[in-house]
Amino acid sequence: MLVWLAAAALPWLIHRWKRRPHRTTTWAAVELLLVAMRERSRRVRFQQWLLIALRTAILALVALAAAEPALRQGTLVSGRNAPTHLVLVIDQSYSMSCRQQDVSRLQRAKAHARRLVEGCDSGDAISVIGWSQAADNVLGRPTTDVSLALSAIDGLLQTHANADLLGAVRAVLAALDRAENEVPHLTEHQVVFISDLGRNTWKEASADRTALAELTARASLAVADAGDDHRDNVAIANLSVDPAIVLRQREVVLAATLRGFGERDWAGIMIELLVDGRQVQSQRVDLSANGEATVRFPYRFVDQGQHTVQVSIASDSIGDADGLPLDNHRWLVVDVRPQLRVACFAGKPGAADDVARALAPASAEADQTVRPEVLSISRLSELDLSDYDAALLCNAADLNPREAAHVARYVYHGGALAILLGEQTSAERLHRLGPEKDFGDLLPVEIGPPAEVGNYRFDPLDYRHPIVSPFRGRESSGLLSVAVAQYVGLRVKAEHLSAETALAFDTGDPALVVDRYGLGRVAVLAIPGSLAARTAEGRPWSTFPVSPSFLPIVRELVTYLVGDRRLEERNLLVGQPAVSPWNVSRRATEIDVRLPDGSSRGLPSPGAEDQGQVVLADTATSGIYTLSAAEEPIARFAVNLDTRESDLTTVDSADLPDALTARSADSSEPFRLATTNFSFASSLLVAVAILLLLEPAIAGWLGRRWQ
Amino acid sequence: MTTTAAYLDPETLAQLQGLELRARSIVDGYQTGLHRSLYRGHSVEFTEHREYTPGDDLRYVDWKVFGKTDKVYLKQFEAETNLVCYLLLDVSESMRYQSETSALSKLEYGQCLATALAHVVLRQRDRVSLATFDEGVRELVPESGNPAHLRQLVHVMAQASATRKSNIGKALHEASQRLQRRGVVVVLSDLLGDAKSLLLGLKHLRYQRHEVILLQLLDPAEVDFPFGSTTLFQGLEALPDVLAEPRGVRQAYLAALSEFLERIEAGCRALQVDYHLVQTDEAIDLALRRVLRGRKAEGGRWKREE
Repeated sequence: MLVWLAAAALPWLIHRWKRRPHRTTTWAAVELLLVAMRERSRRVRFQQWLLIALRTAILALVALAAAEPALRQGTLVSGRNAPTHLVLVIDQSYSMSCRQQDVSRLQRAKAHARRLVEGCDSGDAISVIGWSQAADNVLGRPTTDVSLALSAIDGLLQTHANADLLGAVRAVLAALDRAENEVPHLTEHQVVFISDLGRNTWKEASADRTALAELTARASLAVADAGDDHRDNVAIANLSVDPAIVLRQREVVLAATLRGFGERDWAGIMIELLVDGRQVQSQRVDLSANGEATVRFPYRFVDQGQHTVQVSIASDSIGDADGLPLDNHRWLVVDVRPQLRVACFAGKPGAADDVARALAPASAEADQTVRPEVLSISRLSELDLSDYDAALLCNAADLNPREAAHVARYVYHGGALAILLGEQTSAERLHRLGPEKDFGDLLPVEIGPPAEVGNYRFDPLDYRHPIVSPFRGRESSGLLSVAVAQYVGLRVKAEHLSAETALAFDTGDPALVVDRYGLGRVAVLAIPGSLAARTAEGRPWSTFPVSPSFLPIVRELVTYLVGDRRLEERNLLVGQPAVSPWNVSRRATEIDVRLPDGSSRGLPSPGAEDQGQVVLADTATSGIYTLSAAEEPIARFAVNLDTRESDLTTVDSADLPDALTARSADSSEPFRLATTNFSFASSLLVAVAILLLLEPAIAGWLGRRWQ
Repeated sequence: MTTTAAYLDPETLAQLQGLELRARSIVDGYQTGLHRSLYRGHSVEFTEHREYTPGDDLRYVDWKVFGKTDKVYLKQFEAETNLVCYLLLDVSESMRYQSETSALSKLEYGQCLATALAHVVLRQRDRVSLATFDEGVRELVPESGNPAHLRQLVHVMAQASATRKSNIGKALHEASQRLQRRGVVVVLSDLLGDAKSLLLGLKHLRYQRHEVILLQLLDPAEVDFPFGSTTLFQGLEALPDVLAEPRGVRQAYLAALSEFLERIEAGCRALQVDYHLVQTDEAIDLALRRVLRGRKAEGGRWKREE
């Protein structure tokens, strides 16, 4: 800039030029000379103005080039160095925990982000978005404080979640909206995604271009690749228990599914089974490249209650070849029950007997896992139904409002309810089980009048439903030979979208409809489970209770209603909220939550507005979460990885949208997006150089014209 | 150069030996018979009577005398049978201009040319008068046919200081009133001034029935404007100095000069004034020859004003 001091010599030079020696002569024809000069001035005035304009433009452009920093501050112009809003979107998904040379991808990403922040110009603003399953604008609003931005970057932690690209795009758009409102002078926006470019994440960019199109229109985009060469990985993709209802002293099979990624074959992987933190079994397994293998552990739970099951890959059996240790573990919380307690409420004497016998046959060889209790329907409201795994209403005539609410609350909080309709069924009264102000509509069907007496058969509907699927290939089991003389007409309510018809009549009318309700399930059977139900002619409504298929259908029904529901409640993926029933009568002001890393934090005890539920929303880390109140355990939850990120394959650059250009985050040069290499000042100085070359040529041409 | 010889170098004089100045006007004279009298009987001074002899022109019979004396006498007039050449020399300051390449200033050239013309006139035994002028007539030397008159003319020309402004029109008007006899008026000037005023002055001279020869004397630099670098033109006759870039103004100056000369020439044609542009680098004898030849060639064109 100091070179411009040379321009200070300009006036002196002009003065010297004016005072340069000129010849002098006397002249007689001065008047003619003056006439000539006046005439010439008229003719060349435009030409002089042209030269004046040219020379003025040269000086003006020089002045503007020198004033560029001030103009940039005032955002009068935009260009490479205009105040810029830099939005850094840093991938925190669990694939970023992959390490190479003792540096994780997240560390590499944060280092690159730091370089970008430190390379910002004065006046630039920075937003930092932590990107995993939920994109979080860490700073809340753009900041020009570099140290604050660096601190935000350093504070980003490794998560166990997947990366939601579209969620990140929406977060960036929200950040841009905020910037445009709060710092409107920042007209330039640059968004940099710093990620390992996992294919499972970035293939979404090709699938849905709408959000990206909006982002492209508002900001310059780029992707920095913070990944590495690691592609080989082994993950425990699933852990299950069979059967889903785990009973004490009953053998179950704990099955762990391994999945391999990359091009490596794995031999002798050691899989360890831990129950309640104690290793109980182990097995070795071989895994082919990109293959899948299942390891089964038979196990018998001795004690009832909640147990934690963990399956892990022994690290010394795979070594450093495994790119991602985080997915080498999986957990399961199992509710071990002594028996299934089923309350069978009889609408009239004997209405529940056949059902109870089906659930617990009297023979010694029979399975005693289910303990039915035949109860009068009049005891319905006085019992704590939560003590029962399932409740059956057999040929109930009606329910008063209090009973209806009692039943609805039970199912809503995880109970299993089966309603076996019969000749006592009053549609009008049972519809009290309909819309309940706190619990919604329990019944998935409209109960109509009984069908005409006839000869009906079951239609298993291709055995699609789990309740009837065991009968596939077993047509002689008697299900199809059940004779039905009469049944209650049912119509599935259209608003019950999750309702399923598990079994129908050959007339097409539903025979068995099941649905979810809150945390529980409800089923409606159009025929009573008792021979006691008679038509007007005295015929039994159906021979179903004496059919060989009756026992398995009833057991499958109860098993299905109780089923793996609690397993689903207790076993979640990272980011899914953990919900547990809460007895509002319990006196506790705070619930203690112990996290997988051993730390604890508190949750306020739920109030009446929480509908008797405890909700733990923050399940960002995989492992076991334990809730307790007043040192009394409430529930355990297992939170596992969604193993899509275990595939370390990166997206092909050609598959990225054109608006994104990827470059390595290891690049040490300052990261700048594809903009012109000319700065505003450079453009002006180039223009000055061109004009300086043109000026003498134009002046000479004009001078020749004047001569 | 204050002597006759200085004005008429030998070479010049030799050139002048064969030249005659033929007047287009008719001069009644006694000497050569080449001049016809410009007049036919009036506006001539009566001097004496002489007795009529057969063959005399009866138009000049004095009938009053015959009425009184019964004798026929002829009036005898002082007829101007000799050509009178009036030399009007511009001695204003602008005539002092002399460019670097010129040997003589316009004044010096004019003096030489006037002297040459005077010599020619005197050699043919005609009469010559001289008037110098700037803002008006400065000096007026009455006409004379005496060869020694030339010396006086040279002396008067030498005394010119050439320091005043010029007003040709006014000077010509004044000369028109002071010149007594019809003759040939030769104006030697650069004519750098008001063309309209000049033409009015010439018109006055023509009204007085003079034959007018207008010799515009210009320096070659004034005609070509050969200047290159930036020049400060110091104005003569109290005109302002002008600093100009000659290359940029030359075309316009030449155009202005051409327009000026065309206007004068057109005006002279309309007034039947004999106009010649003489540059001071032109040999005086050639210039003189050109001027006099021009008069011969145009002799038939002239109309006599009665």
